[in-house]
Amino acid sequence: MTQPIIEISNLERRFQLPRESLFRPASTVYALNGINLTVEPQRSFGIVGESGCGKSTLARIIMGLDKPSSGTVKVKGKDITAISPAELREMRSDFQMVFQDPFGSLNPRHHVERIVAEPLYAVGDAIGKQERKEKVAEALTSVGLRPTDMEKYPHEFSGGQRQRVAIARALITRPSLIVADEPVSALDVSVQAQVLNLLRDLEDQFGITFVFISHNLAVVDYACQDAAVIYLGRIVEQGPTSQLFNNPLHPYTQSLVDAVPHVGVKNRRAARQAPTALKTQTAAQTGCTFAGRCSFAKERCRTQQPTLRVVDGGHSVACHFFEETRSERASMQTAVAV
Amino acid sequence: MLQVKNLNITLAGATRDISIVKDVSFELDAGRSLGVVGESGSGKSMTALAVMGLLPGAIRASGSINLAGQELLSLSEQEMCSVRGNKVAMIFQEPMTSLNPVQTIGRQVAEPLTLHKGMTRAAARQEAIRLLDRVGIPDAARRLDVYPHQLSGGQRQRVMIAIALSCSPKVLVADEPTTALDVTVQRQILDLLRELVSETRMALIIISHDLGVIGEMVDEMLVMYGGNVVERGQADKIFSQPAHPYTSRLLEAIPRFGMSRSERLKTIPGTMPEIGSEMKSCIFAGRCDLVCAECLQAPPPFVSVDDAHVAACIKAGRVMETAQ
Repeated sequence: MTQPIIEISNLERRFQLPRESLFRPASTVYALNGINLTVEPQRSFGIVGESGCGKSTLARIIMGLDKPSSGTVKVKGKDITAISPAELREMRSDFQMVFQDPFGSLNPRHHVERIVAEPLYAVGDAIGKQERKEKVAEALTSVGLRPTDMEKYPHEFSGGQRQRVAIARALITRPSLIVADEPVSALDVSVQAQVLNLLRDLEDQFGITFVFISHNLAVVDYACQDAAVIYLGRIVEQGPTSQLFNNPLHPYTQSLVDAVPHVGVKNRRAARQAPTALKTQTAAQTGCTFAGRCSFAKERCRTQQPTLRVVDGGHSVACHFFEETRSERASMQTAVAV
Repeated sequence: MLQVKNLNITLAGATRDISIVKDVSFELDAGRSLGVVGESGSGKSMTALAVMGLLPGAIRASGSINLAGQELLSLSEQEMCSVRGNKVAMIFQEPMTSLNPVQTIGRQVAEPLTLHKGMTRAAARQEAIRLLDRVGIPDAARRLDVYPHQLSGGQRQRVMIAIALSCSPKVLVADEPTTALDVTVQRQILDLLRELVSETRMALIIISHDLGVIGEMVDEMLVMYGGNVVERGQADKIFSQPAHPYTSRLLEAIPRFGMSRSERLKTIPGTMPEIGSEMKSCIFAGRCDLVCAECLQAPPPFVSVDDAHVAACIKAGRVMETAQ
């Protein structure tokens, strides 16, 4: 058995809210609550959820940019929450990050050579100027830009090209893991397709594993082999994308899949009433976090927190009654088809 | 109801005029919806702003925009003020920035009512409650006195819709109404817009880069590329059988559920020509794989491929065949 590239167990991240009253204790937000997940090498992993569900906090914790309140995060077998900043810095060459906004994540005053080479300085590689230039040229070529582009400034590039520069910057240290937080959300459809194809090529060519965070389910389905759906800081469903999105078991995943607008399904009424807006979870409440929005919720859902149960083939779901929701969904779909 | 004919939008430059939108024409009847699709820089938002009479200073529109017999382009700014928000209304992409953060939402919803309908403040307040209730804000009477920051993104967009609806406009322009929202919230807003169209018989123009949103919402659509309309027709026909290579390519570039691991997304090589570049050829020629000598000589005319379905491509028939 190969060693997993990321192993997260019982991860919690709490944020203390400012006190609202002198006489009441300050309340706490659980951004992440009991997250367990494993990312296998060369199986890119998608993290899906709505805004405020904690997916970006999770990315920051995996990158060591934020500390968990409790739990462990192992990257390639090393617990990054327990190591010193110096050690973390050394490890950084092996895992890199690509951010959402290609306009905000590149320094406008630096030319591309300096931007792309920055991680090399940061991890303290003592290499000569010539070698550095070669490495930058190589990284730029592998993302489909020209080596001569290194003399340009970010404003000379289009949005898609900028995202390529950001990817080249992540590639230059030859990482085995890249955490990409909404890497294509800011891009146009035709450019998005180019960048998604590029990510897949890099996966095949360099054996990089991506942790891909997105709110776009179809993009995650395309880019990743496995995925987890997060709702209010908890994983509600997890498994291979082929099963997760074709056969969603958790009512929340089902409502997400149903809510995606599709070309050519005109005037379709939502098969299921889309649930009301997300609320932040301010206390470790009892029962299922989704119970308040779930049309299947029963007494047990409000009192007992469901745990992730394996269904089949690595597909697991945190719902007491997934068998029932599944059969009801199946009958609803046949009704729609008729 | 709304008739746009040969709309040209130009930016007056120091040496020459830069053309941003070229020769856009469409018609829209009451109770119908039109989608405008295109990537950034295609001129779709400019077209919407022209209908609203909100083009920025140095940018001029020519041609004709006729709303129920009234020629909007010939109106003075003062006259336009009595049309805007009254007969045509708009909702914007960012519900965070398009509401005034220092006024209560009640005041913002009531403003067009006192302004255009001459209602008293008390009457406008009552009407505001009804509107907020209609767009699905729970406990509307109490919510009148809250400020935008106290509402979620979806609720802010509902407030925007309430403001736009306040004077029962004939035409509602929605520029990327759900782009900033989560999928489940997006679903609610789209459902709401659809209900409102069938209830009030207003005409709806939706601008979006999301082909899924357009595909579900509209009767007819325009596909824009580099400031030109490249295809126009009934939405379901365009989606099932695109006649312009750009539309066809764009549809293939969207990831779909259940694509196999070995499948790759089709991409469109190259980039959109810059705004204002004078093209003697077809604007898509540089990125098109069907390009021939004729495409490079002159911009293609609109070819009618079906009832009210036109595409600016001399090979439209062939594109449709391959799309099947």
